[in-house]
Amino acid sequence: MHLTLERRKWLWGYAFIAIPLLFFLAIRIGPTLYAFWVSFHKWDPIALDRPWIGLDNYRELAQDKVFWKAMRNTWIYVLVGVPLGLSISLLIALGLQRIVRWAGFFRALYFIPYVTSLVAVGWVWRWMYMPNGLINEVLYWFGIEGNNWLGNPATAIYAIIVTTVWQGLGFQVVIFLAGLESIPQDYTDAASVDGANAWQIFRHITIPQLNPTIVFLVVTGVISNLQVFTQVRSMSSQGTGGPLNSTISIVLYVYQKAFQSLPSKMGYASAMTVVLFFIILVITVIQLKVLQRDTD
Amino acid sequence: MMDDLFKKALDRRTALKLGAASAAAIGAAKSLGVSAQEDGFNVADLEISGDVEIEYWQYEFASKTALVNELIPEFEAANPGIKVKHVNFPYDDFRQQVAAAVQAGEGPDVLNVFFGWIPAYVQQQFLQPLNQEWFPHDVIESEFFPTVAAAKVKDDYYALPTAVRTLALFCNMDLLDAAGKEPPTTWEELVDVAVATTVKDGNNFDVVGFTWDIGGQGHSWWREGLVRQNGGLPMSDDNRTVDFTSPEAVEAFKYHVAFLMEHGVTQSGFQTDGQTAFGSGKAALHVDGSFRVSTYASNAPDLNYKIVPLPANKEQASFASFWCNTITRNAAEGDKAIAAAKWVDFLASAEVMQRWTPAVGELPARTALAEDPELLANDKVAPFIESLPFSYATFMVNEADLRQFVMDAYDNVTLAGVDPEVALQEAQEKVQAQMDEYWASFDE
Repeated sequence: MHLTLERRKWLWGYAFIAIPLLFFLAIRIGPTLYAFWVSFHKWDPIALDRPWIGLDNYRELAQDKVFWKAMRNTWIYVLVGVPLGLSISLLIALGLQRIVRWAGFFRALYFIPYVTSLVAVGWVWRWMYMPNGLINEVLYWFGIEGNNWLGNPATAIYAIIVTTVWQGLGFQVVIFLAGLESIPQDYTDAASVDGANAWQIFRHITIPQLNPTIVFLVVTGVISNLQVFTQVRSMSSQGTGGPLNSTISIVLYVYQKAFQSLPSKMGYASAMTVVLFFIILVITVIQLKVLQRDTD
Repeated sequence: MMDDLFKKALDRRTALKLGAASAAAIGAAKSLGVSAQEDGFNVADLEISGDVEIEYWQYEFASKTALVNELIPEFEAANPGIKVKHVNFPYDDFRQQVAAAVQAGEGPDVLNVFFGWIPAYVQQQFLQPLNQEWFPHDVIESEFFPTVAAAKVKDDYYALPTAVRTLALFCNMDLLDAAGKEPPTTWEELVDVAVATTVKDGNNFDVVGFTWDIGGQGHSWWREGLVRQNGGLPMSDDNRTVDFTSPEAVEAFKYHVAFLMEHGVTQSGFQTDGQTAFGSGKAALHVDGSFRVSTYASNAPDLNYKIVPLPANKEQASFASFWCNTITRNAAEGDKAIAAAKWVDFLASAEVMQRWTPAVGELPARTALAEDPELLANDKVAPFIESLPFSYATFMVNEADLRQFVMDAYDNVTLAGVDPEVALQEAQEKVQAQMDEYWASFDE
């Protein structure tokens, strides 16, 4: 059989994407669908029978106070963590863009936390946050009464958000820098010739031109905050999302029910992941529609 | 029936004399006055019909895995035809690993399991009861410490421990000497010493008199230590009814909470947690388990501390916990069942226990070894062994949740201003609901 060059190219193309596609189907899509299936069962991996219980897991979820607490907390992680992280990293990126000397050094400095192990970072921050830790010590010099940052239900979640934001800065700064450098110099030059001040340039040129970058960072930031787990597990008291469930996230609660609880409530945990899946899906679609405006 | 058992025991002794067991093992056992091979179990003379391999699973703990690796060849030499495959995995993955393997139709024949997980695994029909003819109940109850009762569900025992752990009081002697105090032995003295040893500047602690760590050992200390010491009973004898709200339990709870709320001798999260605070020399008193001795031996070798039994009140009581060996449904019958029983018997023998304590730091589970002069000569081990006769292991149907519910009761009182009675009532209702659901699943 003779194939035209065009056809052979076409076949090779499909052959090459087939492998990642298969991988993706087997490692991502398959388990996702399987979780849907599991969520309709009373599923304990060790038990001999795993009866179909229809929507019972979802009904139980609706009544579960800890789940709703986790839902509320997860939104705090997103709604406080994402804007805070984006604004700080944009500020840093604008600053770094102006620095000429030692630019590489400073960029590396901001990037280091991002490539450090989440657990190690969590533990170092735990030591700084503890009642007799560095942060209270510094406050004490200024005569300010300390706080048990992670042990107080009113502050624990924000203490964790600060750490998450700090750790994510490096990544966001680098992306912002790339975005800033892709803005044509002509635009800003033209604007200054027309008499625009720095704020006007920032507001009407930089921000709109950064739109694709912002969309990307908001989408990835929201998704990673919706899935926050490691920081809560390594920083909250005993890793349980405490005190009094004030820091528990949905993913941590899923982990507790599926893997820490014995008997395991795998079906129930799967139902939670299905709910989270749809939340992420809807949010992402909305974000792409709303934020992806044309910048020309 | 009794005659049969007696005959079997006799046969077994004959077999022993013929050299079926290693001479070294007999020697070691004889020097103790108890022989592993001559205990009351009827396992040694069981015979397999052909070669068999069993899988033994335990989590990674360097000293435990090393000792078991040393024991396997000895066991295999004494039991020709039986091979033991030793599988280890990280502690944090324990429940996932077991669940994943079992779901895939694989998994261990003999599993080393935390006692608090036994009831759940039994409910899942994952574990085999120990055959009563091979492991008679009266023998288990007379030769092991009472804490082994936590391995019993309904009318069957499901596991035998090699070693157990108890809670006792760790005292930093540098700090106690500086305050001119002796280790406390009563509730009043505990408060007194904690107050005397606390060092602080305003609200800033340099040294806490007593550690505050509910999620560590605090919740167990209250449940099985303080409540019982105060004359209460945290759980009915049939393991069906929880009682966190008896006057004794509430009073014990208030006594504990007062260290944080009234006496001003401790702080939550100080040095991140209790064992770190004590290990870094910044806490005078700390309740912890026998397993902590080896932690401090390697992490804080210069720490000058003494261990004493928990300070008592009306009565004396402590919390016991243990890892133990269970036979799973993978080894339900045939040669595997016999091989598994022999392995469990071997690991629970006096000779293994005698080697286990020095190597691992856990306490022997057999009463006969509690008087072993060599073990009692170690002042870091002796107080824990002395606590064994009055130590209780809680029957738990959901270990993680039980801990969480008790932790929440403490947090509700200390952080949210909830009344102790109300907080304990809530915890009791949650634990009882799980308990009811658990027992109902058997009655169905």
